[in-house]
Amino acid sequence: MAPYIEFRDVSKVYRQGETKATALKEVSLIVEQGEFCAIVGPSGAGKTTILNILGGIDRRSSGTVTVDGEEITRYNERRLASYRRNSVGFVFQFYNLIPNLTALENVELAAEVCKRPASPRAMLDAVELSHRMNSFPSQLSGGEQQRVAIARALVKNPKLLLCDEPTGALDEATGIQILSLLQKTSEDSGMTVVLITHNNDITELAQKVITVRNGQIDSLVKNLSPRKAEDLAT
Amino acid sequence: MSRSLRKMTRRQLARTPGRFVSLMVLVALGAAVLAGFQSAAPSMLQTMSGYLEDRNLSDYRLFCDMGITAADVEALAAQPGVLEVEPGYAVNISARHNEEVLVYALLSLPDEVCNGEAHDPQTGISRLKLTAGRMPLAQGECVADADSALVVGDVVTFNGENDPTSLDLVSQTMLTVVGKARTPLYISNTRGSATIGSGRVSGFLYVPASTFTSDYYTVIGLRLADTAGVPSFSDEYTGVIDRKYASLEAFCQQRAKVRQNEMRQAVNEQVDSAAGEIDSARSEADKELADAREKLSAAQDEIHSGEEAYQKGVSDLEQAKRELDESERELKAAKKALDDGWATYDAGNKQLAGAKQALGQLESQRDALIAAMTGETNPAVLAQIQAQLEALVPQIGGLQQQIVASERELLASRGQLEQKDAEYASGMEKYRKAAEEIDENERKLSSSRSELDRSKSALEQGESSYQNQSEEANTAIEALQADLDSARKVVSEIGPPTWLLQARSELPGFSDFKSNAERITMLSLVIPYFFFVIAALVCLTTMARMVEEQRSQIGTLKALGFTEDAIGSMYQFFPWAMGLPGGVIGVALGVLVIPRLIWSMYVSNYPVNGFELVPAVIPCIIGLLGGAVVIAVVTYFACRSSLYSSASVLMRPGSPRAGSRVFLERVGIVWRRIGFKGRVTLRNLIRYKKRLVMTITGVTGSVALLVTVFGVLDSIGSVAQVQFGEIAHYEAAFTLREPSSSSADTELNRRLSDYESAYAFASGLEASANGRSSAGFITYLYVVEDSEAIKGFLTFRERNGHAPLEFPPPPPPKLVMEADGAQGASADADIDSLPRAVISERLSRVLGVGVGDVVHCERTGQPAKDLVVSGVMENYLYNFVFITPEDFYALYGEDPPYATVLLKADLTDSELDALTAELLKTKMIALSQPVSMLETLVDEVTENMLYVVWFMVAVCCVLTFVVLYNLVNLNITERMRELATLKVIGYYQREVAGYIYREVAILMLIGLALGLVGGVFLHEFVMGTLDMGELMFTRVIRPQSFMLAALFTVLCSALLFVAMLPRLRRIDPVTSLKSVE
Repeated sequence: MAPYIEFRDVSKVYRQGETKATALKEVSLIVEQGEFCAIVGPSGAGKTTILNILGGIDRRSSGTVTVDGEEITRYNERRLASYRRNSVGFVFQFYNLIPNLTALENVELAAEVCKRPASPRAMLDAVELSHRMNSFPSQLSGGEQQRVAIARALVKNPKLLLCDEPTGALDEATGIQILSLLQKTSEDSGMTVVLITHNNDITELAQKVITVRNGQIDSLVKNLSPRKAEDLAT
Repeated sequence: MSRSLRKMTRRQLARTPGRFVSLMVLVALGAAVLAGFQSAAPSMLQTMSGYLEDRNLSDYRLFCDMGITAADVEALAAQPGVLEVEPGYAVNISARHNEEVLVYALLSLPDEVCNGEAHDPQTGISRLKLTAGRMPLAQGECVADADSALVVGDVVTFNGENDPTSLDLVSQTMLTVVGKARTPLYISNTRGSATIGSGRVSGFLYVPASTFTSDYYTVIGLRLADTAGVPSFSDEYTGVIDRKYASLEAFCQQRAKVRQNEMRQAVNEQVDSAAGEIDSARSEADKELADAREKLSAAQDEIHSGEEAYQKGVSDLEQAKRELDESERELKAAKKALDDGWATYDAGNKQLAGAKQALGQLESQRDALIAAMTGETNPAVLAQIQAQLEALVPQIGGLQQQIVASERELLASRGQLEQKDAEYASGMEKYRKAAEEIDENERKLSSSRSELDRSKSALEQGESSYQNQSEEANTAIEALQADLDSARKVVSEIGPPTWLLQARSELPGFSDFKSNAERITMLSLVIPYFFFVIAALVCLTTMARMVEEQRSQIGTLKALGFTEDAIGSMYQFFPWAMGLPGGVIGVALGVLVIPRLIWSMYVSNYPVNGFELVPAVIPCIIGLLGGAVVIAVVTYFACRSSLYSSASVLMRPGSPRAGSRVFLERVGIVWRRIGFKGRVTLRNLIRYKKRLVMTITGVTGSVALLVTVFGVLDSIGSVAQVQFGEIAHYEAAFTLREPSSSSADTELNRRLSDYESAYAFASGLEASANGRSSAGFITYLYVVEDSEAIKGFLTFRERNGHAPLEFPPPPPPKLVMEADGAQGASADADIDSLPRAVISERLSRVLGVGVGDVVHCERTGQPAKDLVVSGVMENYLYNFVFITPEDFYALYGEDPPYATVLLKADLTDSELDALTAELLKTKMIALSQPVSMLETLVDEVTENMLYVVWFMVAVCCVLTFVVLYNLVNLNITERMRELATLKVIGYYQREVAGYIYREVAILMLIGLALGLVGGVFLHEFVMGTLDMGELMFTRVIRPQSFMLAALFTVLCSALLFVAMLPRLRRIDPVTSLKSVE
């Protein structure tokens, strides 16, 4: 069986005038379906680039990326957008909620465009925010906002959930809360989760830990006994 | 400003050029429209003036109905202040080219410019400007109107519709076109009216002056010394012309007097010589008559003596006859005597013969006896015989004797008789001769008689012919005398000739040109300020956005110790840096492009070389500074609150603008029904009120302007149709040769009996009220003979709602005055006693009067009268005061001298032309004003406005575009993260665009709706400024115009949406990952 996600010799070169900056150098990696996968590495190593290419919001310079048997690197803009709306859920470090929309509306924003959305209310319920669903982002705490963001990502029932330092802007307790939510989702629905983090503790939660350094895969470690997020608090 | 601040400012500019450029564009547009359009009118007028100066257009043209003499020309040239005079000819001629018969103004060229050369004449007054061919060289050649369909080589032939006196003026009946040209005398398409043919002059033909054979000129062109170099449409020019008018009029009167005297003198001389002729004719006639008389009496004498001689002859003859008769009688007596003699003689002879016989018998008896004796023996017997013998012998003897005597006697008598016979014969001969003589005399006499008779009858004839002759002579002389008398009378009645002064402003199209130029100015008056307001709003939102973006920067700067003033000056830099160049560019472009553009369109067919730009100073200054000042003030207020916050507050990241609930959210049912997209859009709409106001104001304004400018075309374009389709229902108005006090049985009426016609009286009028006056506008006191029939020719109604007005005006309502004081009642009673009139709407606006107000009306040469307005009537051309004939009589004590005939006939243009030509030719009418002439005027105004309108449309589109661009631009930059997030979520291009565009579209639609409504009001206002003089426009806006305005706005938005798509496409979803600044 082919791997769910496969990067094969993916390079990314940023061109700025005369100078070239290589972000990724012939990266190859594999993520299995339903895996909870963490990408770690120092700043500027190329973690986000990998995530962006995987999420279809950035393009590689060479190489192929296959997701669920589809070679997304061959997609045009529109198919990429379609891929994003139906297959991928994103969670950002800074939540990226629309300030002018209520929590519920922010979730609806995603539900609106995808094929098989879950109920936005149910989704907010799942992230335990049904009591705040008519609040505006500015009226919510950071954790609440991130939970709204996760609800927005999950409402689409994506096959793939991509999180870019989802706890980066949160205090530890809230961070664990969020991680626990993500882990639970992955386990419950068999959703593949790829998560970028600086926090080594988090790697202990992952089934697979990919370490990136200088645009190359430094190591790819399978964690056969990942810990539960709730246990991190201790 | 310190260096670092400058650097920051520069970077700011470089980073977001769009918003600054759009600001600059708005300011520039406002400045351009303001400076450009305001400069258009003076430039157009100046350029036209320059052209007219170059072509040396006459300041005045002088006409004289009895012709202009060389002495007149000399006298005029000698007038003080007269620079140049050019006598010439001008006559309207009907001519045929191919199958087309048209009326042309036939004008003369001074001989010196008829050189056959192919360049414009450089001498003379009102010089031509050749557009094709060459100048004429000889008689029979002409230069044709550049606007006419004639081409070089065409031949026009004068036809039978011409007034013979006009044809007498020219030596040719055919003209060959050798060139085409324009004349400064006609600056528009209008060529004026004619008294022949169709009644319309269709163009002009210039011929060498030598083509005219008349002793008298018909026109003089005149240049004044004081107007040299003075622009034609300037107040100064008008002043000079007006000042000169009185002296020219005095000159005309003086020349008229001179001419009158000359003519009297000339006629008097003729009369005198005629009188002399009559005298000599009379004496000659007398002499001839006397001769005739003498001859007659000689003849009479002759006849007299002839008669005497004749009488004598007759008496002689009678004497001779008498004598002849005497001799005849004598002859007869002689004859009788002779006959008797002869009878006697014959009887004697017979007796003799008897006697002889008896003798013979006796002798034979005797012989027998003798014989018997001889043989007888018986003596007895013998004896007896003897005895018997014896008895016989004496007897025989006696008888013998007797016979001898008788024979003798007879012989004598015979001789006698024969002598007498001869005598008788000679007598007879004499008698015959005398008779012949008498006959001869008789013949002579009778011939002399007949001769006499002839002489007599000749005399009689002579006598009667003498009578006739003398009678004839007398009547002839009497007739001459009568002629002479009437000639003498005519001399005493010879009036002065009528001179006519025609200033430039009275040339066809002149005042219209000025009005049209002014209309362009008026139309542009409201727009620039509007632009400034929009610019201010755009600036407000832009600056507010910028200050918000740069909160922390301002805070940092403050923390670093920059003063508020320094920081403020950095922000003040933008309005000035955008506003001033915008103003400069706008004014420069506006002034350089717009007037020229309008001019080139206005006179697209007009060979006016060059263009004189006259920038309107004040609008230029306002244009230069206005925009900058407005946005600087706005910027100050936008920055103020941020500038004066403390640094620490500013350094903290500004809380993102919180979402807020929309009013509708509180109405749950509605809110849920709106749908997600709708809810998002609504929220975004309400988020920034300034932008909402800016966008809606901008779009509303531009749509209103679009509606207005299209509506302007509609209103101008529909004038003719409404005026002649709904208000006036007649096809033509004929001017009678002589006014008539009633329409009773006239020749014209019989000719027009197939159609409906009405007699009307129109008199020039100066109406005034409220200290305002209609002077300068064509205003008529109008009376239609039949107050009932008038409704078939004119619809009396109000413009708004078309409520019919009563005509004849109803009597004033009887008001019951109870509470009001006696004073009011008596004042009202005064008003009630005044005649009531319906006035036209334009007049009511000019005078500022309404129903129940009193208008003072002054007809030329008549005392002023007061009238009460009983109704204000929809009417677009000329100003009218309608009253009934009865009121006219009451006012002026006479029946109106009807001089206009309104004709209502279902005729085609060509049929109407034919009828007009016939009426003009048979002299039943003097002038025709077919309705189509107004249409021409309106067409011209429309044509001129059309270009301005399209320019305005373009400007409005730019305005819409810029305003919407600004909104879209702001929304995009501000929501970059949101949009990136949407992209990450998987929104398609279309959906992302929709997220931004939907609210823009809604604002645009709101603006559109408001603009369509607002346009009606703006249109009403603008039309008020375009009504000029005697022309009012309708307030009609066709549905198409609303649709066009909407269409253009929607198109602009669509264009903008398309234009902004790449911008949206370029938004990188990766942006969403970046941290909040």
